[in-house]
Amino acid sequence: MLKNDTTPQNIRSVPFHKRMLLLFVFFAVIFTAAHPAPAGAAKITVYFYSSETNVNNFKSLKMEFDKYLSDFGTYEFQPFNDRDTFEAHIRGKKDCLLLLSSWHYRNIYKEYRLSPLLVGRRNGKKDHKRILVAKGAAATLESVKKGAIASASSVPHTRNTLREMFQGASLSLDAADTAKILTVPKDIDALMSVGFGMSQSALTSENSLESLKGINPVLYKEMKILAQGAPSLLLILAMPEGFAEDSLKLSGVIKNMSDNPTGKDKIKMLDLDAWDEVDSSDKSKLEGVNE
Amino acid sequence: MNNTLKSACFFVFFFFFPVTLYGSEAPAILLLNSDGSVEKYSDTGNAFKESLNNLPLQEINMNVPQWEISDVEKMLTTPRFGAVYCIGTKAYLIANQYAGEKNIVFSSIMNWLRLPTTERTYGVSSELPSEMQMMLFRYIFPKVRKISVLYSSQYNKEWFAAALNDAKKMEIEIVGQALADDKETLSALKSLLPGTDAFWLISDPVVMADKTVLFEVLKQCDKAKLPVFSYHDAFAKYGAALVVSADNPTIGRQAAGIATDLLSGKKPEEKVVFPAGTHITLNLKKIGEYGLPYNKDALGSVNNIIE
Repeated sequence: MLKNDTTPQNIRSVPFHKRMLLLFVFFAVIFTAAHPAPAGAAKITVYFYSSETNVNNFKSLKMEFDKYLSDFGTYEFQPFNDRDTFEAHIRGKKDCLLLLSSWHYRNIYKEYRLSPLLVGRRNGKKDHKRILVAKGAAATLESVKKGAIASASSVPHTRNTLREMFQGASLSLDAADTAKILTVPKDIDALMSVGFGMSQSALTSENSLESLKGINPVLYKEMKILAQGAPSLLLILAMPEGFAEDSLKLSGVIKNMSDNPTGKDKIKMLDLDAWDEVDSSDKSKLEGVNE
Repeated sequence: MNNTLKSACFFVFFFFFPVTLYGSEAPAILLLNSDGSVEKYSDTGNAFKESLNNLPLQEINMNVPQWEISDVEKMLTTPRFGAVYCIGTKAYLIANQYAGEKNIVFSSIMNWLRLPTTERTYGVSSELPSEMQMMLFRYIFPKVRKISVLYSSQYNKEWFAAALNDAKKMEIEIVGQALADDKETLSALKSLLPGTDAFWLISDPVVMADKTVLFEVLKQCDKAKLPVFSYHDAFAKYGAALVVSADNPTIGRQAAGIATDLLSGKKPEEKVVFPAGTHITLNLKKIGEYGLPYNKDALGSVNNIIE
């Protein structure tokens, strides 16, 4: 008998598990033929870069979001840790959604023809305030100039926030541009670096300072808020022009993450609790009423 | 390579390839990297270079065979270099020997206190302050209140005393047992673990003298479903629930800040500073096995999740 001879008269000589395997392959071929992959079923990608958030767990984010999104369609998640690379990558792309900070959105929405879809929510709020804190009751805004300002945001974003904060303060106009910035991975690091003397002050969020209260009440009491910025919207999910129809399903999947136990945990990785649809008030904050 | 050829190579390199030296009038920084092929060293070095804001820089990767000690020595005595940044112990020891009056900034050295220093030595330590580590333990595991530690009086007596005080600020209780010998490790662990919420595996040459004992420590904690907190990602692979270590790029940025100050004539207030950034690995697989509650709001601060 030939080794590969599986004609009916000798098929019984093929072991049972091999027969089952052959059967499986047969049905797999039939099923694939009957359900071909839709033409042009290219992956739709959610590109992520945030100049503001302290999220820098890119490897885990990619893995966890890919796993989650793939349950709903041919979607993938691509985080970036560099603004220029992110912007170069999304230029001219249509079949994608973008996750970016509201400050970044404001800066690029015209050039990249973006529209906002969703805004992140945390602790029941869609916005948050950046604050500048230092250690000790004697600390002043002037004393900030003596040393580094620790910040988890990108350097341009940090300087922009400082410029807003220093407006009207006694500091010289170029204080924000000449300030020595120490970029740290997380808001909590910025606070700790002030606490343990690695920086003079920290640009952080109200939320993070609130977290410090529960973690280290002694250090929390020593912190002094020197300045605060205007409230800014949290992370934005945006779409490029021309992707309106297909974007609905994917933005729906993202919006509903907080209703899904697994999705709920994944959003936490972005430092958010849930997503809200962008309303007209949010849109004017993002794009300006007069623009 | 004979001496003539080596000198020729050095001449050619020094005079025709000063690729990273721009603005030759300004004092430059010499970066000595013990081994650029080591990821943590290259991460630190890259962040250092990115943060220099176009200050003149010359880099030597000491793992490249072209560099012999005598060449490095010549570079170290070159007047155009105003400061030397050393990544790793090997680079530091050479710089310390040959850099003369130049300021030296170091980083990526475990237990730098054992090394010779001068009044021109500055740096960023590799170890996080115990209080910073405990803050992150509390941040991720708010319910953890009693943590056990094994340490040797020889290496960590002062560290342990400081940790006891720091812990009180965060309403944590540290229970520790000093070891004189690694043979005591397992019996000490047995009496230490009951009634505690977590075991803190610190860097201690006595506790870690024997790899077999170390694995047995992790095994015993696992058996007792007690989470292990540690300082190196390698332990996460062997079951540590939480690893808090220094963030290497932040160390590079801090070192760049010190070197820039020194080059501009400013003296840093502190000679050696702690790392300002942390890298967190959370082993959710282990946490799930133990049924441990953790702070999901802190997930955004976790760099690496094991599932």
